[in-house]
Amino acid sequence: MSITLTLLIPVATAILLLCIPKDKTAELRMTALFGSLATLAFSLALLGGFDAQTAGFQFTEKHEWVPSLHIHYHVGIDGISLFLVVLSALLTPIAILCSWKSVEKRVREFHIALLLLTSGVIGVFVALDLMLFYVFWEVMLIPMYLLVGIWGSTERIRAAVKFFIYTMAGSLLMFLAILYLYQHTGTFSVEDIYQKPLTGTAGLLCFLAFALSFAIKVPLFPVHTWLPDAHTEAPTAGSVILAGVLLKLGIYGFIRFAIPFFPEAAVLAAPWISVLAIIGIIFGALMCFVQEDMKRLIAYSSVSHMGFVVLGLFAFNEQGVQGCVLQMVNHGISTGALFLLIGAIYERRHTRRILDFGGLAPVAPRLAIIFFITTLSSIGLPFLNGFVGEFLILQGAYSRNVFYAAFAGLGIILGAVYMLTLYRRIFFGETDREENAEMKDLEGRELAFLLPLVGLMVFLGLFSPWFTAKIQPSIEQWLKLVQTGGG
Amino acid sequence: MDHITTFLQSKLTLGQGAAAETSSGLISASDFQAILPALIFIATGTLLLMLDCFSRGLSHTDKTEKDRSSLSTAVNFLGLLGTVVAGAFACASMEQAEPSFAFQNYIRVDSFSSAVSLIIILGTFFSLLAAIDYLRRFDAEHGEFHCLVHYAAASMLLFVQANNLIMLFLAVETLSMAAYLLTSYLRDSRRSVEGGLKYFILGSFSSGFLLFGLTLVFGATGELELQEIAKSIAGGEADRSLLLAGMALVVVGMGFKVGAFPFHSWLPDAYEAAPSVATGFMSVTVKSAAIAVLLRFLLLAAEPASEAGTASVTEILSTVLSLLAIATMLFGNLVALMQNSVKRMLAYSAIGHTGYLLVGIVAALGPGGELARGAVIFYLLPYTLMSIAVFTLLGYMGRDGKDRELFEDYRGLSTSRPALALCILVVLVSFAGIPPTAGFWAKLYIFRAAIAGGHTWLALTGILASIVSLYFYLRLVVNIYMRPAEEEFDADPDSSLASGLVIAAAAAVLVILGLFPDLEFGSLIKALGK
Repeated sequence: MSITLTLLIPVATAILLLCIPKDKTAELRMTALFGSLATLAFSLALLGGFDAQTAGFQFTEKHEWVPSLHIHYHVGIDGISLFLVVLSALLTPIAILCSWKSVEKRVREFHIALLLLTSGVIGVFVALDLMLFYVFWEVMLIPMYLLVGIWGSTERIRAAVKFFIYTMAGSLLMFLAILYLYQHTGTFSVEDIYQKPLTGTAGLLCFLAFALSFAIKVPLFPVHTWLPDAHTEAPTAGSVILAGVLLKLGIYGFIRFAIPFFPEAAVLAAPWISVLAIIGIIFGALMCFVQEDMKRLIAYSSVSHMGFVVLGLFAFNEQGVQGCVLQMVNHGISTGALFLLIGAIYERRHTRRILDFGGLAPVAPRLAIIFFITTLSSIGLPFLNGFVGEFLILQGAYSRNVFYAAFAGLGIILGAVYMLTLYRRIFFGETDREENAEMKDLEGRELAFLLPLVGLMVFLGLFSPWFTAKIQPSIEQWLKLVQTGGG
Repeated sequence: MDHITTFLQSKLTLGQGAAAETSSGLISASDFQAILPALIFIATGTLLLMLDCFSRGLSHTDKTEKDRSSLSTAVNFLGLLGTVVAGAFACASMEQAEPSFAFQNYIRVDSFSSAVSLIIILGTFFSLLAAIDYLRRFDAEHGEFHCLVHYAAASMLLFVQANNLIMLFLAVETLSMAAYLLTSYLRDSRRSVEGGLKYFILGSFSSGFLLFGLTLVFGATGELELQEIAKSIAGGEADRSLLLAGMALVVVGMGFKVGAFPFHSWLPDAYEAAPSVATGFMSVTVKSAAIAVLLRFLLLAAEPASEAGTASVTEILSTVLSLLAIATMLFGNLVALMQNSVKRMLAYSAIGHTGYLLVGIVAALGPGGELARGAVIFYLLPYTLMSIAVFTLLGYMGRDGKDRELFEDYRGLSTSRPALALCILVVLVSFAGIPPTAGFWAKLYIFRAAIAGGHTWLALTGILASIVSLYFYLRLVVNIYMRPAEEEFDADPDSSLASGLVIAAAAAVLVILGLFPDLEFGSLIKALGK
C-alpha cells in the first residue's frame, strides 16, 4: 500500500486544492506544501523499510486494470528506483518553497500542475507494467508543458512546445514498439518480458524506438536541443524538477526497460551510444564556455553531466552502472541546488546575464558559501557527493575502453574550469554595480530548502557505502540479466 | 442477365427464403419493436415540427417574449426527452445475445447495431443540448432544426440496422438529405447556404457511386440480403470481377460519407459552413453510422473463402483501404497544421481521425479481425464526445451572430473561464491521444489491432500522423492557456449553461473512460462475427 499512497497523496492534494478559492494563496501554498511533505514522509518510509539484502522488487502490489489486454496496476521498487523515488518526493516541497514568492500568477493551477507532475514521475519509477509505465510517462508531460508554458519567462511558449513535441515524438515511436513487443510476448509485465528478450532485427528496431525516446529525455547528443530552451525558460521550480528528476527518467528507462528487454541490441549499440555520450560530454562542456545566461550555462552542463551517466551505464560493468545510479541522484541534488540558487539571484536582480554580476561574495556571504559548496559538488570534489559517482563511472569506462575514460576525464577538467569561472565572475571581483551592492542575502525560507540539499551533498560524499550497499544487489542481478541476454 | 431477373423476382417477393420465419402476416408488432428507437425519433421530430407550425400561427397574432421562450423550452425539453427514451430502448436491445430480424429481414437488430445506435443517440443528445444555447444566441430557434436532427438520427439508426441493400440505400439517402439541410440551416448566411449546396451536389454524386456499387454487388451475388450475399460470396457463387467493382464503388461512396481522402473535398467547406452545433452533430453521427455500415459491408466478403479467387477480393479491398487510410491520415493531419481557423483545423483533423478508423477497418478485414472490430467501435465513443465538445465550444464562443473561429480568439480563455478551459484541455489531450484520457485507449486499441493483423506500416504511419497532430491541438492549448487575451471576453453565464454542461460531461466521461477503459465489448464483437 505504501507505494500507492505515495502516488495518491499528491493527486489527492491537487484535488483538495481545486476546492480552495483561487485568491487564498497562502492557504493554497500551505496545503500544497503539506501534501508534498506527506509524500516525502511516505517515500522515506519506503527507504526505511527497504531490505538491502534483496535484489528483487519490494513493496510490490498487483491488481488487474485492463483485463482484456492483460494490463495490471503493478508497482514495486528495487535498489535502482528507490533513491530516485525519494529524490522526486524531496524536490517537490523544495520546488513549492522556492516558488513561495516568485509565482504569483495562477497560484492554484501552479501547485496542481506541480503535484500531478510529482505523481507522474514517481509513477514512472515504480511501474512494473509496461503500459502503466507508459501512461505515467505521458501523464507527466502535460503538467510540465504547462509549467514551462504558463509560468516561464519570455520565450516560454516556444520552449514549451519544443519540449512537448520532442518528447512526444520519441514517446509515440516507443508506444509502437511497446505494442509490437506485446504482440510478441503477450504480456505487459516487465518481469515477464525480461524472461523473453526480443532478438534479431525486430529487437534492434524496437530497441532503437525505446532508445530514441529515452535519449531525448536524457538528453543525449544530438537530440538535446530542447533542453537548453526548456531549462532556461522554465520557472525555477520547473527547472529544478526538470534537471533533478525528468532527465533521470531517460536513464531509468534505459536501465529498467530498453537494455534488459533487448540485451542483444543494447550490447550491439553500446559503442555508438557511448560515443554519442562522449560527444555530449565534450560538446556540453564547450557550450558552457560561451553562455551569457547562467541558467543556460547550467542547462548545458546538464548535457555534459548526463553524458557521463550514459557512459557509465553503457560500460555494462559493476562500477559503471553503480556510478551511473549514484550520479543520477547526485546530479539531481547539485544541479537542482544550482537552479535554486540562480532562481534566488534572479528573484533579487531580475536578470540572469553573467555580465550583470560581480563581487557578490562580500554582499551576500551565505549565498556565496552555499553556491561554492554546490559548485564543488557539481565538479566532483572529493568528500562531496559528485566525486564517488564520477570516479566509479571513469573506472567503469576505463575497463571498457581507455579512450572513453580519457575523453570523459577531459570533460571533468573542462567542467571544473567553466564552473569555477562562473563562480569567479559572479562572486569575485569589484562590486561595481549599485544593484549588486544592495542585494539581500539568503533569507530563512531559502536556507530551509537549500541547507538540506547541502547536507545531502556532504552526507553522500562521506557515507557513499551506505548508499551503494542498497543498490548493489539490484545492480548485480541486472548485470546478470544483460549478460545472459547479450551474449 | 436472365438469372438476375429471376433472382429479382424471387428476392423481391415477400415471404421467401430466410424471411419465411415471420409467418404471421406481413408485419407484426415485433417488427415495430425492433425499430422502436427510430420510430420514437420520427414521432418526436414530427411532433416538434407541428409544434413549430402551431407557434408560427400564434406568433403572428400576439407573440410575446414569454410565449416564445416557454415554447422553445417545451421544444427543447421534448426533443431531449425523445432522445432519452430512444436511448433507453436501444440500451434494452443491447442485452439480447442473438441477432433478431424484422420486416422480412430488412432490419437486423444485434448488439453491434445497438451499440452504434447508442453512440449515435448519445451524439444526438449532446448536440441537442448544445443547440439550446446556440440557437438562442444566433436567434435561429426554428422547429426544423430539431425535426431535421431527429429525422437524421432516425435514418441513421435504420442505416446501421439495415440488412438489405435497398434499405441501406434508402436510409443513407434520408440521412444525407437531413445533413444537407442542416448544413444550410442558417438560411440568412451566405456561407451556410453555399456550403450546403456544395455538400448537396457532391453528396448526390457520391450517392450515385454508392447506388451503382450496390447494384453491382446485387448483380454479382443475386442477393439483396446481407447475410445471403455473404453466403453467396463464401460459397464461391459470386461473379468475382462484378463483386470487386461493386465493392470498390461502395468504398468510394462510403468513403465520401466518412470523409476519406481523396473523397474529402466537401468536408472542410461543409463543416465550416454549417452552424457549429450542426457540424458537431454531423461530424460524429454520420461518421459513426457510415463507418459501422462500411465495416459490416466489407466483412461480407471476408468470410473464409472456398476458392482462391474470392479471397483476393478482400485482399484487394484491404490493400486499397490501406492506401486510403495512409493518405487520409497524412493528408488530414498535415493540412490541419496549416489552418488558421479552429473550425477548419477540426474539419481536417476529422479527416485524420477517419484515417485512424480506416486502419481499424483494414485490420478488421484480416485474420484475427475481432480485435479490430471492437477497436473501431470503441474509437467512435470518445471521438463522439471529443468532437461534440469542441464544436460546442466553437458555438459557445460565437457572439453577435458570428462564430469566433480563429486561434487568436481563444486567447486568455483560461483566465476568463478557468473551468471551461480545463475541460477543453482534457478534450484536446484526448484528441491528441495522451493518457489518462479515452482518446489514448482508442488509439491504443486501433494500433494494437493493426499490429496484431500484421499492418505494422499502417500503425507506424498512424503514429507519425499523431505526432503531427500534436502541434495543432497544442496550438489551441497555447492560445487558451499561455497567451493573454487582447480584449475582455464577454462571458454571459446565463445563456451558456447547456454548452458548459455538454463540455463538462464530455470531459468527465473521457477521463473516466480513460481510467477504466475496459468496457465490455465481447458481446459486440461476437455479434459482428456471426
